[in-house]
Amino acid sequence: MNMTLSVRRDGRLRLASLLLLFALWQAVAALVHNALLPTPVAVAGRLYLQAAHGDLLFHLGVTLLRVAAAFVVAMTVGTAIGIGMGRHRRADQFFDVWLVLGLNLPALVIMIVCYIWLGLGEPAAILAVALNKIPIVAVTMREGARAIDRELLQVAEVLKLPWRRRLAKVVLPQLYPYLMASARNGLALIWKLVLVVELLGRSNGVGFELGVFFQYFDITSVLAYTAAFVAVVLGIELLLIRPLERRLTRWRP
Amino acid sequence: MKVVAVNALEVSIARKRYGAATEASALPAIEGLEFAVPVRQCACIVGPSGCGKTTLLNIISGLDREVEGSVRIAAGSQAAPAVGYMFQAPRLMPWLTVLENVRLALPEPAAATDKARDVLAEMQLADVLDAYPAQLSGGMQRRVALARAVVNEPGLLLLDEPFLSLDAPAADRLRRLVLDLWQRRPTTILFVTHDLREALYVADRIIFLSAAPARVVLDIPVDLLRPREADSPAIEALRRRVLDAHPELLSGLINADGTGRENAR
Repeated sequence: MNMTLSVRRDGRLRLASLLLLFALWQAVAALVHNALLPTPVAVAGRLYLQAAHGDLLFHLGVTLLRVAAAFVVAMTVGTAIGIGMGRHRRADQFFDVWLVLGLNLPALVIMIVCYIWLGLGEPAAILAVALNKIPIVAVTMREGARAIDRELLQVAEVLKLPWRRRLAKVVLPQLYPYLMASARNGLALIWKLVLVVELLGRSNGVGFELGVFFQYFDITSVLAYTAAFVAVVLGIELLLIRPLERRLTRWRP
Repeated sequence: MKVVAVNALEVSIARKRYGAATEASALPAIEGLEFAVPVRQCACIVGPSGCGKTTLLNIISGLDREVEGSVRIAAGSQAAPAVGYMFQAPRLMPWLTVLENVRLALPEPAAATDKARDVLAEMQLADVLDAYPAQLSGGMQRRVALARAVVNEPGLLLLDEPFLSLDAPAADRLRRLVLDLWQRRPTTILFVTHDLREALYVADRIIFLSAAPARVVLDIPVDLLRPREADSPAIEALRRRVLDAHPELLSGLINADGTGRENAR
């Protein structure tokens, strides 16, 4: 009872804060009255126009597909590397330098290199984004693998659990917090990177469209596209990641 | 014809060092430890803290294989694992419910659920099947751990000071539960404790260990009738008799006239 109340109050506070931001924006834009600073109302109008009559939904879909592909590749490969390094000290010592190198390579360099070596195609775009994210996932999952409780593994060993059940019932539940952290940060980073690879070397997607609007100094459309995309990503967080997290941690007191 | 008692467990450990076996400098935890436990006996291992009792159970259960020596365990019935092990801490999976924790010890088929349910009912846990371990008291968590250790009917049950951090009434209740269970489904039990009263209450026989490196200093039968009372005069009298004969037995030392040698330390 108390909790739902405080959650509701929390929500109201957030909404008020957001409304204040829009009000300020509206006021300043109205005051300046310049095409380079459109009002939120104008942006909303453009958003509706682009969605109803323009290509916004198509470009949004293309970009989301790329985000999904890069996300899956980065999470899978990064998790495998991270667990391997967390469980095997020698592998950890050997590959640690690679990881540090990967963490510090500028995203732009990776993108340029991928496009040049693989050509301006879809595989290069997705690989470039995934490569940027893999070291970060690996570092997080390595921490998770190191934190695995040896005593619970001993229980699995005494019970002679086959590896599938051991993984599903003993190992993975200990990694869920790290997986969720990786997924959440991953989503935030990956969609930003996808826009950049689209700008650099694709001819569709939100990033490509933003590039076009940039050339026309069409800031209203830039903001309209941004709003649409941020809304989708927030939706994924609220409707997918949060409920999943709640499900996975419901055993916590 | 004479009936030869079959041993459920034969332990013969020449040496076990702490840490990795490769480090020759590591201190020995166990040295020259030998004993056997006949089928369906409830044997207690009593020894001072830190004498390698847990190490011994880890070796017997197969968790620790870096040892000079051998452990022979008679094959369990059917396809069940030969050994059930109840650790000092409950070691339940916090993300699994009580029922799921116990079912973990059984292969997948649906019949497993019924069996886990039955054993949990015997432990008076039928009302908390869907609770998570964090919602249970310490005593209840131990009962779940006990259910998990016995649900697949192991031929040999290892118990490592399982009631250590419980208050006296909860520990008493659990001790009685273990004995009831053992009366109904006889199995071989190796029960580790440092509490002589507890040992006299549950055991057919007590094996006393020395301080590290552990070896057997005394091995006595406990011929008290069952069911026993936890604080009965008979237990107290036997305790007195053992301690009068070997005043420093619980520190792992024994008089020179006893069965063992005087410990050099």
